[in-house]
Amino acid sequence: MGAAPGAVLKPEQVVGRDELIADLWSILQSMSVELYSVRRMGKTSVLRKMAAEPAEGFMVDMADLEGTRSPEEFAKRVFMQVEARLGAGRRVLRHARSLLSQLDPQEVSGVKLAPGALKEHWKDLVRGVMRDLVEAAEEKKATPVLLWDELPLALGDIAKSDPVRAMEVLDLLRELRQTHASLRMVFSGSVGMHHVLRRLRGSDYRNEPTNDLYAMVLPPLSLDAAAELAYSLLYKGGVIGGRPEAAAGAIAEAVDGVPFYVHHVALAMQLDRSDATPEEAVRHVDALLLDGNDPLQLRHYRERLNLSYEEGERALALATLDTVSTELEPCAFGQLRDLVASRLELTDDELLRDVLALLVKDQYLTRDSGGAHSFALGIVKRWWRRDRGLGE
Amino acid sequence: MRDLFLSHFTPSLMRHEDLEAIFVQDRRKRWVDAIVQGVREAALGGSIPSYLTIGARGMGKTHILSLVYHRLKADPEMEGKLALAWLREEEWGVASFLDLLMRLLSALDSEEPDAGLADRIAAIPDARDPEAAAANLLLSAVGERVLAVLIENLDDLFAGMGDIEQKRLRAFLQDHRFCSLVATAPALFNGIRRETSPFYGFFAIEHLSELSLDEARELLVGIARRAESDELVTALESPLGRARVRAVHHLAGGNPRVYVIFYQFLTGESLDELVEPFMRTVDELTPYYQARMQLLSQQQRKIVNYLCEKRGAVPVKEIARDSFMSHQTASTALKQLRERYYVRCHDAGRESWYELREPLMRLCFEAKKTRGTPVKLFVQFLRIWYSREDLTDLVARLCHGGRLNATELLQDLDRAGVDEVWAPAREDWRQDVGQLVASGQWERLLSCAEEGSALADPASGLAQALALLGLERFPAVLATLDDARRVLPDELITELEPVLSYVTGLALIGLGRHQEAEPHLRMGVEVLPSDSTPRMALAGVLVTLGRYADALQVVAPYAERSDDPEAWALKLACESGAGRREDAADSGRRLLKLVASQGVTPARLVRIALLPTVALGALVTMLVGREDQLWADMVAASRVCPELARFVDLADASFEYRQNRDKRVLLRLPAEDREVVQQITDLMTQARETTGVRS
Repeated sequence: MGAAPGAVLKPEQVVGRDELIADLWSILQSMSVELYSVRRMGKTSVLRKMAAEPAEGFMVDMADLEGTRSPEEFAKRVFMQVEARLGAGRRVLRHARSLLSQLDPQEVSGVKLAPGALKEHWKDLVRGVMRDLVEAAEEKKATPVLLWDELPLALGDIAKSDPVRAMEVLDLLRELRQTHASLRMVFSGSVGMHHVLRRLRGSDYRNEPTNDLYAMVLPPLSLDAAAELAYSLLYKGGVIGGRPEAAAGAIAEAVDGVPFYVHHVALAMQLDRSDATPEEAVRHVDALLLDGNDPLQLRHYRERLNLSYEEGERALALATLDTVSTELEPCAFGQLRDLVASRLELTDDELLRDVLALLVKDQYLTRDSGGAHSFALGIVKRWWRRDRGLGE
Repeated sequence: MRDLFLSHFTPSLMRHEDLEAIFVQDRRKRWVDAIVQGVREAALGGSIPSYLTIGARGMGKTHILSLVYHRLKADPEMEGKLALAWLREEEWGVASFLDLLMRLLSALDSEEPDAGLADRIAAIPDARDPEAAAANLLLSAVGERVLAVLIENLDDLFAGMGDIEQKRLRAFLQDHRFCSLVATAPALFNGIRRETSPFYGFFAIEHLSELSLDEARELLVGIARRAESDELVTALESPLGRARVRAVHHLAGGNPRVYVIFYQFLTGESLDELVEPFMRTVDELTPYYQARMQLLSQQQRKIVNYLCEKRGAVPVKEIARDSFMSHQTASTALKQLRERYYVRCHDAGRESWYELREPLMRLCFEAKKTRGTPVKLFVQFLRIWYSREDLTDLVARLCHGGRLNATELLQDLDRAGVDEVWAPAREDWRQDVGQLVASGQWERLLSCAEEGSALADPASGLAQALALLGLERFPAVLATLDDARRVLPDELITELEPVLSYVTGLALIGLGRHQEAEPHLRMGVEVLPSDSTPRMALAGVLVTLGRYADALQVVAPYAERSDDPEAWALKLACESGAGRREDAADSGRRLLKLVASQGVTPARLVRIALLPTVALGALVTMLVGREDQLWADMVAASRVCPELARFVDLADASFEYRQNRDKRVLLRLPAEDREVVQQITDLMTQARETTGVRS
C-alpha cells in the first residue's frame, strides 16, 4: 500500500488495531458500544475489519448511514442492510415483509407500499427487521451485531428538519436493545453522540437513550504500529535512502501515531524525493504544520468550536486551549482556572469544569489520573500554538 | 517540422506521447506517478485511494488527469481489473447523487460502448426507484473491477450536489469500496476543507506550484523538440533565447497555459498568426473570469480590479489607500480572496504584499477594457521577443488585415520601452546570480552570465568573471574584466571599478602574482569593509610575502571580534611567522576550541589546516615544545571533531619519523599523507632551528 491519506483500506491492511478489536468483541458479549473519535482516526477501517473478520459467535453487518435524511430512509437502509445479510427470501424476513405487504403499493426492495405508509409505519418496519435478524441469528446460535457508521451525523441531519423524529429514532433503538437481549449495536461517529443529545435537549428531550452503551474513544495507533505503517509507506514510496527505520519512528512520534498524518508525511517525503532520515521526517512534519494550505486538515480543531459550542462555552474553550497549549506540563484545575481567568472574566468555576469535560470528550484534551489537563495530541498542540500566534 | 496539436484548454484532446513529452516539473511527475501507482494497486486488490489536484486555471490540472487516464488505459495489466469514467469540465447540472450516477454511467458507456449499457441507462428513468436502479447498474457494469472516476472541477460538482447528496455519495463509496476518485479543483473548497463536510480527509491533496524559470524553459524546448523544430530549439537554448524566456517568465507568472499560448507566437510566421490565438484565448477565458468576479462582493471585486491594473504585488496599505478602504477592511477582503485563490500573499518584513494569482485573469480584464486595442501583456511579449527591426517588419505584414491596428501597435511597442519590459527580468537575473555565487555553482553561473549579456545587464561581465574565478580560469578572469571595463559606460565604471579591482586581485592570487594582487585586495577591503573575504585574502597574500606584521594588522582586528576559525588560523600563522610565540600559543588554543565547538565540516577544516602552510608550521612549532595543555586540547578536540584526528595522527607520525628517520613510518601511511608528514617534519626541524625549542 502506497501513501494515500484518506484511502479506503482493505480489512487486511488495517494495522495496529487487533487489541482494540479484541476488546470490542469482548464488550459486545454483554453490551452495545458507542465508538467515537475525531475524523480520519480510522473508525471506518476498524468497523470494516470487524465486519469482514467477525469473532466466533457473532453475525455482523455494517452500513454507512451518512446522507440519511429521515426516519423512513433510516428504516429503508436498515431493511436493505439486513436483507443483504439474510437474503431476499420471504421466509427469513417474514416479520418485516408481512408488514410491508400490508402497506401497498410503493416499493421498498421489491415490496410495495402505499404513499406515506412508510412515514407512518417506519418504526414497525425496523421492529420487524430486528425480529427477523434476531431470530435468524438465534438459529445460528450467533449474536447479531449492527455496525452503523456515522449514525450521529445521520441523527443530526434528521434533527435539522424535525428534532422530534431524531429523538424517536434514538428511543426506538434503545427499545430494540431492551426488547432483544442478544441484539448488539455499534454507533460510530466523528460527531460525538453527546453533541447530538445536547442539541436535542434544546428541544426538551430528557431521555438518556445511549446510557446503556459502552462509550469508547478510538485512540491513535501505538507508536510501534504507526512506525510500522510509516516504514511500509516509505518503502513503497521509494523513500529508502538513509535510515528508514529511524525515519519511520520519527514520523510516528511526531504525529502521535495518527495514521492519517502518517500517510501525509510519507506522501510528502515521497513527492519531495526526500531521504529517509529522522531529520527529514521532522522537517516534513514542520513544513506540513506551517503550510498555509493546511494539508493535515487541522483547522477543524478551531472550526468545530464554532459549530458545536455555545457562545459562552466557545470563548472559554478558546481561552482554555490557548492556556493549555502554552504550558509545558499538564495543568491542574486550580492552576488552569487562574491562568484562564487572566485571559477572560471567569465568574463560575463550574462552567470551566463543564467546558473541560466537553473538550476531553471531543478529544482536544486529555485528563490524567491527577485531574490535570493537557492536549490529547502533541501535534495538535503545536498546530494550535502556531495557528493562534502563541509562539513555538 | 511536425505539426504539433497544442490545445490551450483541453489537453485531453492531445496525443498521449505529446502530453508525456511536454510534461515538466519533477514534483508533478512524482504526483502523477503516485496517482497511477495508487489506482493500479487498488485495481489489483489494494486499498482504494482518492486524489485531488488543486491549481488555478491553466496550471496543468487537465494535463495531469489526461496522463493518468492514458497511462492506466495503456496498461495491459489493468485489462479486466479497472474501469475508467471521465467526467469532463463541462459536466454541468449534477444536482443529486442520482444525477451523478447517471453521468458516471454515461461516461462508462462512452468508454465501453460494446458493453451494451446504453439501453439499460435509458430505462432508468422509468424504474420505480431510479437511484437504486442506477446504483445497481453501475455496480453490475463495473463488476469485480475497480472504477477510477476522473473528475474535473470537483468544487462545482459538489456545490451542485449539496451536503446531503454528497453524504449519500460518500456512504455509497464506503459501503461498496469499488471506486477511486481522481479529481481536480481550482482551489480548496469547503466541501472537503471543513470537518463537517462528507469528504473531509477523503483525498490525498496536492497543490500545484507554478513553473520555475528552468521548468518553463524545459516546457518550451520540449514543445519545440516535439514539433521537431530544431531551429526553435537552438534559438531557445541560446543566451538570447534564455534571456527572452526569463523576461516572458516574469509576464507568465509560472502558468503553463500562458507558455503554451506564447509558444504559438514563437512559431507564427506573421503577426496575424500571433494575434489570432492570443485573442481567441482571451475570448474563451473572459466569460469564466467574469463569472468568477460575480461571485465576489463589491469590495472584493474592487480589489481584484485594482490588482489587475498592477503588474506586480502591492502592499495592503497601498491597496487600502487606492481603493478608499480602511486597512482592516482591505485586510479582511484580501484574506478572503486569498482563501479563494484569487490572490497570493508575500510577506516582506512586517508587511503583506498581494498580487493576482492568475496572470490570465489580468490579461482577460485588460483585453475587455481596451476593446480591440493591443493588450499590454501581448505588447510586452512582442517587445521582449522581437528586435525593433523584426517588429517593424511584422507589423507591416499586419496591414493585410488583422484584428489589431498597425499604427496603434507600433505606438504601443514604442511606449513599451526596452527598460520597462526588460527591467524585471534583469532584477530576477541578478537574484539568480547572487544565489549561484553564494552556492558556488560556477558552471551554471557562467551560462547565466551569458544570458545577462543578452539582457544587456551591465553586471554581466562581472558575473562572468566571478564564474571564471570559481572555475579557477584565472587568465580568462583578467581578460573578461578588461572587456567589461571597455563596454561599461563611464558612470558605471566609477561605481563598479573597486569591485572589478578586487576580483582582479583574487585572480592574481590564483596566478601566484601576490605582489601585484596586494593593491587590488586593499581596494576590496575598502569597498567591502564588513566582508571578511577581502581582508582574509589580503592577509593571506601578506603572509605569503613574509610580511607577517602587516598581515597581523589586517587580520587581528577581525579575528578578535569573530569566532571564525579561518581568521584565527591566519592570525596564528602571522604571530608564528612574526616570532610572537606566546600569542601564537593563545591563538592555537582558541583555534582548537573553535574547531571543536563549531563542528567544523571536513572541507572547511582542510581549508583551515592547509590554508597557510605557515599556520601548520606554527602548530608544529608548539607541538615540538610538547606543550602539554595544547596537546591535550588537540586530542580532546579530535574526539569531538574526528577530522582533526587525522592531523593528530599525522603530527604523531611526524614526531616518530623525525626522531628515527625510519622510512617504514612513512610507508605505513596512505600515499597522500606521506608528503604531508615529510613537510611537517621539515617544518619541525625548521621550527626547532628558529626557536631553539628542543623536542
